[in-house]
Amino acid sequence: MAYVAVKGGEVAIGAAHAWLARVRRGDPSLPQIDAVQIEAQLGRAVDRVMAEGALYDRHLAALAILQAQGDLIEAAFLLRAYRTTLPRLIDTEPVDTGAMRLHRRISAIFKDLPGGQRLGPTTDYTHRLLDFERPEPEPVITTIARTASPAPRATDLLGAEALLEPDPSGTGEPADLTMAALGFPAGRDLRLQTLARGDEGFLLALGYSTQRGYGNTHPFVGELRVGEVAVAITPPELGFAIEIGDITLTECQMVNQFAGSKAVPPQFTRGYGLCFGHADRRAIAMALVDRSMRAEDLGEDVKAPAQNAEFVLSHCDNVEATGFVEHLKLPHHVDFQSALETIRAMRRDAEASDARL
Amino acid sequence: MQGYNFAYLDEQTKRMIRRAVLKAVAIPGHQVPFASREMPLPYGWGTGGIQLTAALIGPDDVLKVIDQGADDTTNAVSIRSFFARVAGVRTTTRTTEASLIQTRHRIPETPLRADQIIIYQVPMPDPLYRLEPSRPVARRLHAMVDYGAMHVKLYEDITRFGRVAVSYDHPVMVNQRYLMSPSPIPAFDNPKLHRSPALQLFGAGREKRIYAVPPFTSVVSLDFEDHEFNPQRAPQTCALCGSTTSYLDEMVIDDQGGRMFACSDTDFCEQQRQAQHDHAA
Amino acid sequence: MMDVRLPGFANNLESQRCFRAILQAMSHPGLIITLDINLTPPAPLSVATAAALLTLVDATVRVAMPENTGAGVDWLVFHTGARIAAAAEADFIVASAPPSLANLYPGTDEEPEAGATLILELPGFGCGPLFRLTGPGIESNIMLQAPLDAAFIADWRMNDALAPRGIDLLLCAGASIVGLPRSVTIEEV
Repeated sequence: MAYVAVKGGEVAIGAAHAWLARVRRGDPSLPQIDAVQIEAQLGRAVDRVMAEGALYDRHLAALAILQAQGDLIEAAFLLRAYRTTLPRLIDTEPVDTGAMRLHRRISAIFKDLPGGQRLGPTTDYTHRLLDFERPEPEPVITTIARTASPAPRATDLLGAEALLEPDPSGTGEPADLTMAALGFPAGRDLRLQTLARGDEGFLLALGYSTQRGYGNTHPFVGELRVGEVAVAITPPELGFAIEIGDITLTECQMVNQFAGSKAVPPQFTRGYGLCFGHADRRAIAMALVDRSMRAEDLGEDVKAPAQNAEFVLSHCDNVEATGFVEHLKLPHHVDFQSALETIRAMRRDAEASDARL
Repeated sequence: MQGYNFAYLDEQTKRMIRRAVLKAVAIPGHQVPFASREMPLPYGWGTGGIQLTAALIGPDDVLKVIDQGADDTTNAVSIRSFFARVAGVRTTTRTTEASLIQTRHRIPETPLRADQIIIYQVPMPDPLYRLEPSRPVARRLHAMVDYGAMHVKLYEDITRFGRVAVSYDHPVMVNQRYLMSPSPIPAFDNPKLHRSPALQLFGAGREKRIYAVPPFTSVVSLDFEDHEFNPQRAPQTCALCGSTTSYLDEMVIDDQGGRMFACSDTDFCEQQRQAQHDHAA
Repeated sequence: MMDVRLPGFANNLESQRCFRAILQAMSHPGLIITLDINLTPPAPLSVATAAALLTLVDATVRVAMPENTGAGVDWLVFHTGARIAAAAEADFIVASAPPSLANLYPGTDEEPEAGATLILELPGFGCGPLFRLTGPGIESNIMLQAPLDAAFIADWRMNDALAPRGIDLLLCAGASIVGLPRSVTIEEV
């Protein structure tokens, strides 16, 4: 057992943790919530924590939400701090969202399209009236319709006519911001990775700002789809891909009207959003911001905050942001003392020079 | 601690940090980017310092952690107990006994030795960030030794206020080459950076930068010939040990405007009192 | 292939101890530091070189061993997963005759930290010419006797002129190391 210097602070921290545990549990006469219930009934919170925690594990996300008393940023932080300790065993093959088993698929640019429009489990047309008397749940009918007819991406239909730019995605190994400090200029691979784990509120506000004139991108939702995709790996000893499971993703393909620039002829351009779980808001906002950050590549003026990739990427991580904003509550009395003495000295100087006048 | 590597970080992460540290030492004052990890403590609580300590510490080390100069502030207690738990190392509050000292906002009053390493927690590693928020642009300015904007800013302070209005995190030139943030230590501590026999390492976790000042390296606080660097210290005497030279905390003791001043460096204060006690006996 | 089976570090604490020795060497240039390590490296690698490689190298860095095509390379790749590269593209270069520093990557003014590290194997310290070292990490000056020739010293002067770019040097002999970061000035006395 190591010798540890102990002081009063340790007692205070211990007491704070004990109080926190009591508050977290709440009224002990009420039944305790289980992570399994959170996983099953607070699915949208689980989705957000998985996205911002950058780890697809519904159960761990639910556990983190429970431990964080429902503070979703704190839950994402718990997941990140766990994720960073995990060994990297293998990279998966790219997932094919074209082969997604769809729960939901809507296109805002076509009235109808091959594979059809499908609402899925959306709140889009619910009336936001609080259910004071929560009705007995209807018997659950699980018909996750395996798509009868193929549902090609709406953007692929447009692309066939060459009115939509080809997918500007790169070909090499994608960069990874968790393995090297983010540098600038950042490629689109890094930008998308950063947005995919970025704070939903920040992405939402920035996306919104582009719609209000701060870097308009003339967006149309080409397609929004939610469903399950297979995740596959190719073990080197096998040499062929095997599926290891399914994950639920939301994908938004934004189609942006573009008048052309010196560098690029008039055409539709793309913005892309992809995230864990069912998260329309996050995917659409991400697609808006992605397209906005392509301004420089497309020869547009970079004026608005959402077009400034360094600004967006440096501030969208809520684990970083919450740490630095909240750290202001830590003791700063040494610096404050120094500022105090400087101000006192400046006032003495000023009084002395007033007296001389 | 079960389930975790010695000192928490996995070996690959430690190697990555160790390589960055060696380059930082070879280029005094230059900020080396590194793939900073999420730590079990929040960004802003000292994750850069913690990652440096984790990459350096071994079973033979004796660790001291201070925040605001004191060993018993809550964050110092928390970080010290983290390392006692994940590395099982001996910890101390005595500056002279420590082989590694992790600090936030102070340099101990007791002069450091060549066999000691001090690790600073850094919030904003780039001294130019208030003048140039874009990091790629700031990096170009460092490459070109273009620090004119900082001199102009300090000079504007002098013309407006009659003195440089920076009271902490006062920028320094390292080895006559790189402008460096000394971390938010009071300007009072800046002279201790100059030609210190101890290796000084700086870690910024959220900003993902590591930099270093090797032993016996020139560290000069920016100033002007007609306005020399002149750090402020409360002109009082420590109420506990009577020191007239140490940096003091000011505490409000009643609602009549009563004040008490005491050493911010709690170990220094204790050693002073011990010495007086021994002398009297 | 026999040499691949020669062991690496027995545990993580050995790499911690070696790192601290290397850190001490780089922060106190010219100081001869002997590693406290039990290692049987494949010939012709010295204990110090092998320990430095095990401490600092993994699959994320590129290593050049231009003089060493067989056992040493196999052993290094087996234990660290290092990517073998040409000297001009390598992060670490292992050599016993100093290559021209101008042929190694010195980094850029914006990213001087990308400059390579040369691990130079010497027959020993305390032989050859006497040098006076000055620079960061050295209180006033320190004397080092090492078998380095005039051509190398001229090369090092050019390395100095690249600052902040440059090559950092780790001299290895037996189980001893000396650090010569790019910031050090070397004069023959």
